[in-house]
Amino acid sequence: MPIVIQANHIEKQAVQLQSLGSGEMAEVSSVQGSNHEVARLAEMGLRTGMTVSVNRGGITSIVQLLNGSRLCVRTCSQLEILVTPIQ
Amino acid sequence: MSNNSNEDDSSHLTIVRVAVLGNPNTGKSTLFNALTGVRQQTGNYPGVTVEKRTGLVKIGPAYFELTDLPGTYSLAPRSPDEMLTVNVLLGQAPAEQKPDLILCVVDANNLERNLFLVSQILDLHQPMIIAVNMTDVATRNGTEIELESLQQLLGVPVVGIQAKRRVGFDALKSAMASAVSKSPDIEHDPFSDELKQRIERLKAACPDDCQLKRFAVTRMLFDTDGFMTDQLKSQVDENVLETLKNEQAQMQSEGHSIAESESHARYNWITKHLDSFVKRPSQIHQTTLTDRLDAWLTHPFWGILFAGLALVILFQLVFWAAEPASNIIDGFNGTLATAVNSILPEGTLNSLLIDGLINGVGSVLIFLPQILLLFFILAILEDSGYLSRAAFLLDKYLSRIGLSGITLFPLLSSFACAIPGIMATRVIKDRRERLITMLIAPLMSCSARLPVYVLLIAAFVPSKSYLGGLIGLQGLTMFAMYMVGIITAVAVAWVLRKTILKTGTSSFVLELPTYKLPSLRNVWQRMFDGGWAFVRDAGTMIVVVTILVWAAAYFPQNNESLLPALLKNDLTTIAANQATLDRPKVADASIDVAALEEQISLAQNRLDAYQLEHSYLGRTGKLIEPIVIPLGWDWRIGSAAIASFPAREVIVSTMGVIFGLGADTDEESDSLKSSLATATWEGTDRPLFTLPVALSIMIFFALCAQCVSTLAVIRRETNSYRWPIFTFAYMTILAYVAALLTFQISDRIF
Repeated sequence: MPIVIQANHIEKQAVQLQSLGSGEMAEVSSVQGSNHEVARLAEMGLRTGMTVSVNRGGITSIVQLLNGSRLCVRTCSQLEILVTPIQ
Repeated sequence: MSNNSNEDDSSHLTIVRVAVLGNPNTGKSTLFNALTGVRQQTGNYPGVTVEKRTGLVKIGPAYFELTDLPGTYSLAPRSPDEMLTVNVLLGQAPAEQKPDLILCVVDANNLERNLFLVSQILDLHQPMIIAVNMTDVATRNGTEIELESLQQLLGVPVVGIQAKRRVGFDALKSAMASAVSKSPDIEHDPFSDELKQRIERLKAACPDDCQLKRFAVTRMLFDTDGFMTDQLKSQVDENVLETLKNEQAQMQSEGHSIAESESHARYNWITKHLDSFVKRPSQIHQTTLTDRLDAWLTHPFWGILFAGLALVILFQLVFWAAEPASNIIDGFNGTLATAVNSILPEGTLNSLLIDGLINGVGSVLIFLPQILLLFFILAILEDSGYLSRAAFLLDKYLSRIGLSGITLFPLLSSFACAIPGIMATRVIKDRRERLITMLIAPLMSCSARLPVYVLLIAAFVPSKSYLGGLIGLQGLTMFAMYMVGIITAVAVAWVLRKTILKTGTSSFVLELPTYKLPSLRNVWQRMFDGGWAFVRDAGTMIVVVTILVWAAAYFPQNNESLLPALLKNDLTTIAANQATLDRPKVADASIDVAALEEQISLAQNRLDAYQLEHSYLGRTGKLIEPIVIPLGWDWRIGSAAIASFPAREVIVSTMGVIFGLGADTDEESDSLKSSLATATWEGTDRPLFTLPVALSIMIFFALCAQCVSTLAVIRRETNSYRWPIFTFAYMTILAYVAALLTFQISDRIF
């Protein structure tokens, strides 16, 4: 079930990171899963509140963080990354 | 710092211990190699599979011993291997003592991410120096870094370098010399007031003799799965553990994620200060060379095409380009054997040296060109940044069997030879995934299986063709043999994931570094380290096992007086013909030298076959005959299979000996094919080799772990005997069952 968050007075739907297409930008709404996985991603810079752009979309995607890091990410049942697309 | 006195020199030698660490892809190893040059040592830390690399560099009167620690994004360990870095920094086992200096290498192009680790190391409050690498690339990208400001913020020396071009090394060495024994000028404080209070409360609960205090409690507070607490609990007491439990419970009840709290705090601190020492172009998303290359190399179509091409080149190079060098080594072994043969008379010592020792050492060295080539190519692909792109492209396919994209290269290399394939699993960071890849790599049909397939397919599979000659049955059988290995590997990987290496579907996160020209020094070093580790560690076991099999085939020696009449005649023939040939050459046209030599050869082959039949190896073959009969084999095939456990390619020459054709036969030998085709069960007219038997042998060889070199490398890479024993057991059982089913089913069909 999609999560609805408030941002800038406009209701935006948070979606799974892998549903974004190439070239789309989004803000990370939440990273949920095992503490181990969440902490590992956070250490690499992918954490709640960060803006990411998707270089390649799909189950295994390439996301670019604002600091320039490019990460290849595949989530699983123990890890869910929800993002809010930025128009 | 330690002082080592030298007996020949009254002066004292000062050795400064330096731990070198940093994020992956920061050029840490390039700096380490450039500073230490050839004065390096490689080994394993005791008890873990992490490689230990140390090297010496002389700065002024002192020697600095650098230890290259594994690349890491964080000091929050979640496995014994990751704990090693923390233990080395803390001076706990397996390290002998604390480093005198920590040299942290950071990438100038991604200071924000790199300073996260720096921030954690600063908590240790130990002497430290920061080398900001790749400053030239940062400048080209329009990024300006004010090193002086960064130094003031962190309170430790900061030096800008270009490790590949050896720029900034004088300043770095000078800073290293003066930073020893000098703790950071300021107390690092990246946390919010709330977190600071929690850390202070935990610190206050620590006993006075707790040496780690602030670092220990900080690490334990953000410990997400209890691993770090387990490791450090001996340093603190129950009181601290109770306080820790309360603090973590409070954090969670207030809605703070333990997993993200530390990252938020440290990254907030970094972001707050970033503008004071980094000036970046306002347009962040400039198109860089990496962007342009990625547009092609990670493209769903062009990217796959390029990856396929890269894999074909890798496969071809490892498979073919190494062949001339392997042939030279093989030729050298032959020359050495001939030389030994001309010096030593025939006998046990001669046979031990030639068939045991030279053959054993040769069987190690013959793989070396393949291993060196593979490590050369993998080092180039990894150093350039391409390997992670290929892993991205293939991840979606490999994830279906519970593996990730990074496992592709080791598995593909295993088609040439499982040894470099298993060694190439070092690129896999996940321990379980690496283990699974190692365990299934030997199932890929390696080049040593090819002679077995070639011999048996040519001899027993009809030369039929279909679709107007486009597809041949023999070619299809060969393809099927390769597919048997691949399909079985997929099934085994799936079963391992669901059973003893159960992890569920795991996520996959991999940094894609910017593309860069590989450092030749790094590539060379990686190639040399890989080759040397193989020769040193695996080689010893291979030589020992080869000699054991030689002994089993050589002893007990036949008593000439007890030989059957036919073989006594052979002995007489050999002696008589040899005497004729040894006579001084007189003009005697009646002597047919070739015919005499042919007779000697035939007689010797019959004697060798009899010797093998009555050796311990032959006797073992007869002993296990009841077990191999259901596979359609007799004791001779069983003996050949046992002899080929150290190295499967041995079966062709062993069958040559058993069927009386000598050990020099190869898979193309028509006489061997004909001997196999006409061989019968002993005492009957029933053909021994039929198509079902040939298929059964090929399936057995496709799945069996008949390569002591592979098992030795698994032992080396896992630092345990458990996994090579497991591999040997599961593959042998699998091979037996599959060969049994193949024979029993195909015998009813054909």
